[in-house]
Amino acid sequence: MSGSPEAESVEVVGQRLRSFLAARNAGAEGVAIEGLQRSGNGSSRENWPFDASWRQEGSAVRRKLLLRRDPPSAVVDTGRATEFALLKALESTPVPAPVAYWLDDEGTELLRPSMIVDRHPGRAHRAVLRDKNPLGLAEPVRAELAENLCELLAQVHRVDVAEAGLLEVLPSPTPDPATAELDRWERLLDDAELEPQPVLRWTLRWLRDHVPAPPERLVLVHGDFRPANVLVHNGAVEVLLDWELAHLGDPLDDLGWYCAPVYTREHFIPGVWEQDDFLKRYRELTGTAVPADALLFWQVLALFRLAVIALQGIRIFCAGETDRPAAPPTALLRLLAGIVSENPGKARHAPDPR
Amino acid sequence: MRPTPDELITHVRRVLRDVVEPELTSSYARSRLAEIRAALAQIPWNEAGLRLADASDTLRDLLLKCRTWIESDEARKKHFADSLPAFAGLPEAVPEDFAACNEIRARYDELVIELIGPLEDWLLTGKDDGTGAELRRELLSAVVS
Repeated sequence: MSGSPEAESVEVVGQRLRSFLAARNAGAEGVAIEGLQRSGNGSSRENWPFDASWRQEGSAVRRKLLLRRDPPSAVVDTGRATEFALLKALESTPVPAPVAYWLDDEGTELLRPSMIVDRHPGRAHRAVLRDKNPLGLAEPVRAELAENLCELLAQVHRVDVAEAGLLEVLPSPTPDPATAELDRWERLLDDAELEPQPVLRWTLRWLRDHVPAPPERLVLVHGDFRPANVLVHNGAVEVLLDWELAHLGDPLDDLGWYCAPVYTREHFIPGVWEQDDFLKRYRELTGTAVPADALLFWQVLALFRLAVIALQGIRIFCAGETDRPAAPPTALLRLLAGIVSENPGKARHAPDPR
Repeated sequence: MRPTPDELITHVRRVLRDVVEPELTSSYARSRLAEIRAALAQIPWNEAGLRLADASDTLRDLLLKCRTWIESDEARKKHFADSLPAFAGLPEAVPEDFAACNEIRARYDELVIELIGPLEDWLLTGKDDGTGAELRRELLSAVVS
């Protein structure tokens, strides 16, 4: 929801941005903001694209920028300072991520906690691989893009987290990546549920009975890797967006998210690029084994997370704290109940260490 | 009753699409409007209350069946001893309005949650004759109906 009307005003946000940029760029003169608007996308952060210009030591500076600002209530509370530090650390890696310029962690200057990053050309669309083809790509280009997405994920997972300094930015998961994520998302469920959620509680029990063996090495997990968060320009990957759910963990975490059953129609192209093609290419690129039982665990956890995010959206909607309407996540709950029902009992044996 | 809840929502959605949306210049507002139209389409408005009542009845019957199943076997009675008291206050599913129906459904769901751990543990003991596994399937089906 809107919070204070001042915080939603393009004029006020623009004035604040001018002052903020002037303060952050010593010697900058004549800071101007153009084209500022609040874009329609972004669920856990507001996105405000704009162009900024100023004079610095006699030279004209012009930047295409994006203000990423916390909403008054978010579906997942994530630390923007951590995301900012992560983006800074990624600058030394080949991963195409936005360059983060400035942070207002407390929101004292930009009305709410915010960061400013560079803005790239292109569009991110969740249905980019589907036949509706919102970006108007030729069929071979779409097929190549689908494979490039797999290569992009492998690139993220190949980052040497120690060398990139990520061990100082992101906490190491304890006692293991799967349990750490389960603990985190159980806390989020506790916070989100307005009424008892037997399917999700049953799913939690199932997940705890099926925790996979830890991975051989920790990787950088994007946490929300999907076409909707990949900016595509001229049919090619431009930059990977939305790092607020990133963490250190199991590479299968991102695979389970990407291969979650609710995303099948969006993430694969029937007869051209299916889940098996994706996993085969991923294994070729990373050498990471993908045991079926471990993948199922992470797929179920992905559905569980989506349901918790939906419940959190319902909670803040019912409290009048968001402009985004929310309906019960019935389809997700049915899917989870079906999987838990069809896969009773504990994992029969601990999966082989990968 | 005309318009029915479904008719009302259907035509409100149409007006939002045909009249309001073309007038919006803000991409943020257009996105919110699209979400509003989608959210309104997700609920079967004519049946929402009736379905909730039916689902509550089904779940109550199933919970009573669980209690009978537990109490009909000494090993099960011992295993589920901590859960049995929760059945005592099982409310009748005769609500007067939607809020009451929702409240009763929440009570049933709480009892299902109470049973998850003991039932899963029971199935791991190797003592189940298949009836516990069947109740598990029925419960998982009923809680999403």
